[in-house]
Amino acid sequence: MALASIKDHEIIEAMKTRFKAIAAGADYYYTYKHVTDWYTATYDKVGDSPSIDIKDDEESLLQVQESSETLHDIDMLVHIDIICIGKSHVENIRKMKADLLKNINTDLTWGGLAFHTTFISSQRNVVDQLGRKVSDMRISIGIHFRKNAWSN
Amino acid sequence: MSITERDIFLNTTDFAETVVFTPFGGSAKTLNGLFWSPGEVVNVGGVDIILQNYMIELPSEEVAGSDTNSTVVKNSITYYTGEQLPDGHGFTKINLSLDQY
Repeated sequence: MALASIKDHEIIEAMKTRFKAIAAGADYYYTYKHVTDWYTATYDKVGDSPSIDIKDDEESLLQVQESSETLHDIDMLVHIDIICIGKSHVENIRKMKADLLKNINTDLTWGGLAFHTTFISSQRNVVDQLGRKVSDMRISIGIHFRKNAWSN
Repeated sequence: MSITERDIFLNTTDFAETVVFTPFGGSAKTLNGLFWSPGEVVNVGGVDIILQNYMIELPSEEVAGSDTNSTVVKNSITYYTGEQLPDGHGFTKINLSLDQY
């Protein structure tokens, strides 16, 4: 018996690979220092910025149908946090949002792992200034993919 | 001239450091004050970031009425002023940032 599939993990890894390849130049405004998922360490300097942290959240069945006995079509909610430290980042975070949206749109199937990706929302979150300006923008997307029923 | 308790804190051979304070839109003046830089963790985007929360205590009469984004220069580093918290005993604690407000 083969190991269970881990489609959600493969999709998140594909996202990280794509975002790590973003480089400032003709196509994008910024290069991103860290591209992580569910990062737990602590940034301590401006050199850690800008960074992206991906958080896969709720997964739900797109539609219950007869085929659901063997196949699950999943809608996976993914939050992408852009974290900035230092002057001008409060303003420049809008360019970073544009970078990510452009990159996501280059392939909405994530290398064929999903069948579609939809934009849900973007939201400016904390802006703090304890010694430095820090800010965060969260982009939420839905990734629709198919997997065998009762696998991951 | 009598020495006040505050003068003891502003003595640069003991506690204080010399800084250049420039009120926003005003003229620079050299002052002695007490500088603090404790680390503080903020959580932004689900990620912890440790930052130094710079503060300085300066004689209240020297900084009274100055606006946000006045500057404090210490050791050639420029800090921008934020909130001012007078303690009612002659010192005003000012939050500082390396970035303009």
